[in-house]
Amino acid sequence: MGKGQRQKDVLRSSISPIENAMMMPIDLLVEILLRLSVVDIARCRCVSKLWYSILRRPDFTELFLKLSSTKPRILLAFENNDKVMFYSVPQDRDPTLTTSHVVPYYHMSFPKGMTGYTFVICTPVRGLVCSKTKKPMIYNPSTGEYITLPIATRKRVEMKTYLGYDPIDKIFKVLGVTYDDYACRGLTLCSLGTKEVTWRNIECAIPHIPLRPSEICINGVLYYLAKYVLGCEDPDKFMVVCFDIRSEKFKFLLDVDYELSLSVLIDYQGTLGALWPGPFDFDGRGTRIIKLWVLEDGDEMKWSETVYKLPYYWRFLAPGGIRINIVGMNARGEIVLSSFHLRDTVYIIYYDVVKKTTTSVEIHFGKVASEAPGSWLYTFVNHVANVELLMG
Amino acid sequence: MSSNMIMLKSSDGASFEIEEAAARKSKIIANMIEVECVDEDKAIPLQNVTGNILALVIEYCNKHIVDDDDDVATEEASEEEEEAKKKKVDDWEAEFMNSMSLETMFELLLAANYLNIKSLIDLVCQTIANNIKDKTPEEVRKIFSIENDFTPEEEEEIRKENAWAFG
Repeated sequence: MGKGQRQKDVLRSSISPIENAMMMPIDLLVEILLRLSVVDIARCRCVSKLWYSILRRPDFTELFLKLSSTKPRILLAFENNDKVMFYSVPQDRDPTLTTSHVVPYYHMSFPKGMTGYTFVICTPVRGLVCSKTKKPMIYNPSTGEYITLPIATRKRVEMKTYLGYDPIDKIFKVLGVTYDDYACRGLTLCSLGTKEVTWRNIECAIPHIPLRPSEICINGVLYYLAKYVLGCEDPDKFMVVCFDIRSEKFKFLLDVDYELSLSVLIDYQGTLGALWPGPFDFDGRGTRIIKLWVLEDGDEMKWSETVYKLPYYWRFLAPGGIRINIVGMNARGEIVLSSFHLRDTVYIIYYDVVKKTTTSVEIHFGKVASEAPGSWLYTFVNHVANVELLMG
Repeated sequence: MSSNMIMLKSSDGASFEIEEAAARKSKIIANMIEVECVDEDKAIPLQNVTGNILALVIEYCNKHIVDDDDDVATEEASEEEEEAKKKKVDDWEAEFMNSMSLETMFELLLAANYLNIKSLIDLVCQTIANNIKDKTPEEVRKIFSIENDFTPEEEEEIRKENAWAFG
């Protein structure tokens, strides 16, 4: 016993903490750092040069993103005066509860930058968000980083931007479609991560005008809804534009249903899907059906259709007069709906397509909601934390 | 299930007897048993693990020995039973980690890494990460005994970039 004790003491004194930290293999340190929150990551960048470099390594940020995608969040954003504020809540709620209350996690706010008629933002891609104007901003609510892109055109036109990611060359690109009331005025593209970000014009066989924002980037292909320009044979026809981020080539899914043109585009298990909220009235609850399209074959333009009927009680999950919109589908295969405007209490409703049940989560914004009453609320599903820094 | 006992010997000469099934939680020991045909009378020497740390590793392995049988049992056990069982293991793990100093955690992590026990690596890394949560860079440096090698200008720059996290 005495010997054992002595041995222990000798060991204690011979292994000082300094040696331990030095002995810590980098891969173990990475294992520890991967388990931190984005705020802790930001603080830990200030610890030492080694930690700073580990936290910026592409293999670290890629692993962090992968881990984050196993526990995705719902990202909520709205404009508040000259700022855009980002909040999030866990996406996977406790399945044993029928309703629950959540206080949203406040990420940060960013300057809004130059806006068009209204302030609109893109569906996040790998955790990044882009504003839809001629002089777009790229926001990362997981690192606090934001980039102001150069102005794409000084002409009196509107521009809709779409953020996409090429998973092979690992590069983000922003596609800009400029248009006015009559016609498409050209397409322009820029790549992020380069020292000097510049817009360059690109060719597109079918001039088109983007429809209201609904886009999704799946495996390096960006999909968005558009209509033909005036003067075309049939201006009432709609299309889904498919833009390959890597090859920078367009494809078109032409003459899609009118209903589909009113849909929200989603990533349906890695393929393009669309959710249509039925012929809804303005509070969004005149309908009890949701139609799901899934693109079965892009070349043959073959879509499968499924109609879901919401249970009668779904309209009572949020008070009347609160407009509810479809925002997407989560990784569990639940259709997610959310409040259209910012209020003290925001409602997120989940429809389980297998069990045919709906549940709701109340999100309490409190005071901040009164600072920006009635702001559009952007709700995005499957948000992941990307701690990659885009600027050197 | 085999209840064969095997012997492990720490770097400081302490010997421990452990059920083979528990020892197999370590990929390294499992390999040794497969390949080298471990001599029943001879202890397996573990040169990189001291006695006090090995005792903790063994305590952990003994507690998790049942895990391997779970694959069979899962289908029969109800969801609630599964949940209760998981809660029990979680509670035990919390208690287990709670009882040790950060210094011991680092040593345990190195041992778990050397012995290749994935679930223990995960547990210790998560606990150390929880210890970093909400800490300032100064406090983190202290925990890891890291010297600040930034110049004041560099540090200020990086702090400015990450200012939102210091609010």
